[in-house]
Amino acid sequence: MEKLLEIKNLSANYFAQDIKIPALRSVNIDLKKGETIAIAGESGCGKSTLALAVLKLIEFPEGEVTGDSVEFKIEKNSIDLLRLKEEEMRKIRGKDISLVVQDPYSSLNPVIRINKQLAEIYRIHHQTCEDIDIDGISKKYLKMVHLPEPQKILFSYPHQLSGGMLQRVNIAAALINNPDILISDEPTSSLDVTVQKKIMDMFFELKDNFNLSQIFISHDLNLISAFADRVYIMYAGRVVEEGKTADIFTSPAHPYTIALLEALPHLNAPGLDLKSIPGEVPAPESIGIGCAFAARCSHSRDICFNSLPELKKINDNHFTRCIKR
Amino acid sequence: MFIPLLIGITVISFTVMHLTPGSPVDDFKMNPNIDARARHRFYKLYGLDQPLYIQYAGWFGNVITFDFGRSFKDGRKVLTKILERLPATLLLNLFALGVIFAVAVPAGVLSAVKQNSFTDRFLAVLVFAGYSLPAFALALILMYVFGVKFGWLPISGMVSVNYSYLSFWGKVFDLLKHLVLPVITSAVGGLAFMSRYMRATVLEVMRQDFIKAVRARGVSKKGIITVHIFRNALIPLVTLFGLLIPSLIGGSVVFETIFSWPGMGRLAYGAIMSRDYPVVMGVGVIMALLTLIGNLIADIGYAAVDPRIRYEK
Ligand SMILES: Nc1ncnc2c1ncn2[C@@H]1O[C@H](COP(=O)(O)OP(=O)(O)O)[C@@H](O)[C@H]1O
Ligand SMILES: [Mg+2]
Repeated sequence: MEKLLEIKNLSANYFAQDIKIPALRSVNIDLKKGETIAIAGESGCGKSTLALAVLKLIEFPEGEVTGDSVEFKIEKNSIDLLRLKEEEMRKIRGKDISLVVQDPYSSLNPVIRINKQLAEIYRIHHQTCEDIDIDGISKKYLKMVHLPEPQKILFSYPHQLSGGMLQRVNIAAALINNPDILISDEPTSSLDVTVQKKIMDMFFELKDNFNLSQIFISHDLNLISAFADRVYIMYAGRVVEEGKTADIFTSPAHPYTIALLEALPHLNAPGLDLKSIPGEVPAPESIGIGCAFAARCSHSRDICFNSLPELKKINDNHFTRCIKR
Repeated sequence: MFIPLLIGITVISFTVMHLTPGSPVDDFKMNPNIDARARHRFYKLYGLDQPLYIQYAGWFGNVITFDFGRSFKDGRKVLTKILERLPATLLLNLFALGVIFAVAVPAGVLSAVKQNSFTDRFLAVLVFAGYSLPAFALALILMYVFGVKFGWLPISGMVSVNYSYLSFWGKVFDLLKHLVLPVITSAVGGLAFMSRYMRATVLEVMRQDFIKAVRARGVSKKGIITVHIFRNALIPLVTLFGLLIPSLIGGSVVFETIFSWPGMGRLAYGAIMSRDYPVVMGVGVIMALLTLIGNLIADIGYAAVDPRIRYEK
């Protein structure tokens, strides 16, 4: 399969009170055409930062994005997003690569009606000289994400809609320009469980019916196991393991992945005690040169703290960054 | 809501006014033709010998029938005197509001967008100067520079002596010329405050999460500022305009006097100086009324710009 997006050594820093916070560190990620990859990891691992960095939405004075390249195949050409000027990058955002942000409640302008906001997204990416029925187009997409009464929703303000409805509007907004890549940053994590399930059903539908390649960010491994083709496990701004979903779930290699899986509630063995991972994700600015997980890892040795483990190959698709291997 | 407020305001001003030293008959003391007995008759005639609460009750009883009494000085109806002066005051304040809005909003947005740049700092210095310079001092400087030194602008009154001989556009131009200095003087304080406030608001909106989501959809920085941030920044602004109105109206007393602007403020100043109680109280009521109307307009405007107020969830 052809690679649609090839992220090479992508890093991102936030600037806060004269210190640099390295939230994303030399990350390598590939996305093939039609594929769905998942980015997993505890909160604070840099997942959202990755999504923002790909779209170059972190910039001075908030922070910076650096790295080797982010190759994006668009039609027959390959362009490096890292080298693009802001105006050209802007034309890619929401058109070729869309992002659904984490919190549906703060993803739309609170004082502008939905129809105006959808129309804006459509209009800025199309040369619309003649009068086209933008509301009609918007309505089509609202129907596609299973919103009842699209006409009513179009003329609502965000505060009049529920979280689930807002997230559907967001997804419609992300799809309205038929993007090649859809990045969803924990699209269900701020919703009720019952609503989560419905939104996920829709994501499955999108996967089947659209010519979309997806980057699905989540800390919910249960969701990922059913949804993604491949998984990237992130810890403290780095990818510590990557592989086919089946491989990751049946033969996890990195102690962090193993710990995450052990912390999963099992539906078929409800009585079993859940193991939680002791400690928490370190703040990015406090991480030393070695493996960031070493402090929480039961297998760690001195060398783990002193040098960063190489990326090791387990099979053609399965890699991990741990000396144990 | 309005009535209790009005009672509160008028009771206080009534009391303060009567507590200040001096009385309406002080002027007569200089007049050899008016002796103590005549002064006493005058006192009785206007009920000034009565206890304060009786005087107030009588005054209030008349006011609710729109009878503000007659001026002690010329015997003309207070309401008539005020209504003659009201348009001049409204004109001045509306222009001042317009200037504040037209200058403070772009200046605030500019300094927020170019935070910490030269432009931002330069505007900050200007604002600081605007804050700290007393308006009457500014008025005198402006009068000296533009009126006396260069002679470009008239420094007092509302129209020139030859006003009635001018063509329609000549009249408009003449009026505008007279407006420039008083408007600038009354606007400066509010302008400094508003542009700073606007800057803070814009910065706050810029930091909101939805801005990032909107940028992720490909909206340009210009679009973000002119559409998304601006709409949100407008909301607290509207409330502030409601608060600005009282300070503008209060300022009228000073500025109209300095520039001999024939408005309600100058009427109030003259009335206070000569202890013309009915006029002072009448102007007080009208100013309170204007303030309340301003607040009402702000409330309506608030609902107009913020859909979250307009629609119950
Ligand atoms: N705007 C910001 N300024 C400073 N630090 C930030 C900012 N956003 C995120 N961070 C920090 O970067 C790290 C990664 O955050 P994030 O990408 O949001 O993680 P995740 O999405 O995996 O929960 C965290 O330590 C977080 O505190
Ligand atoms: Mg996140």
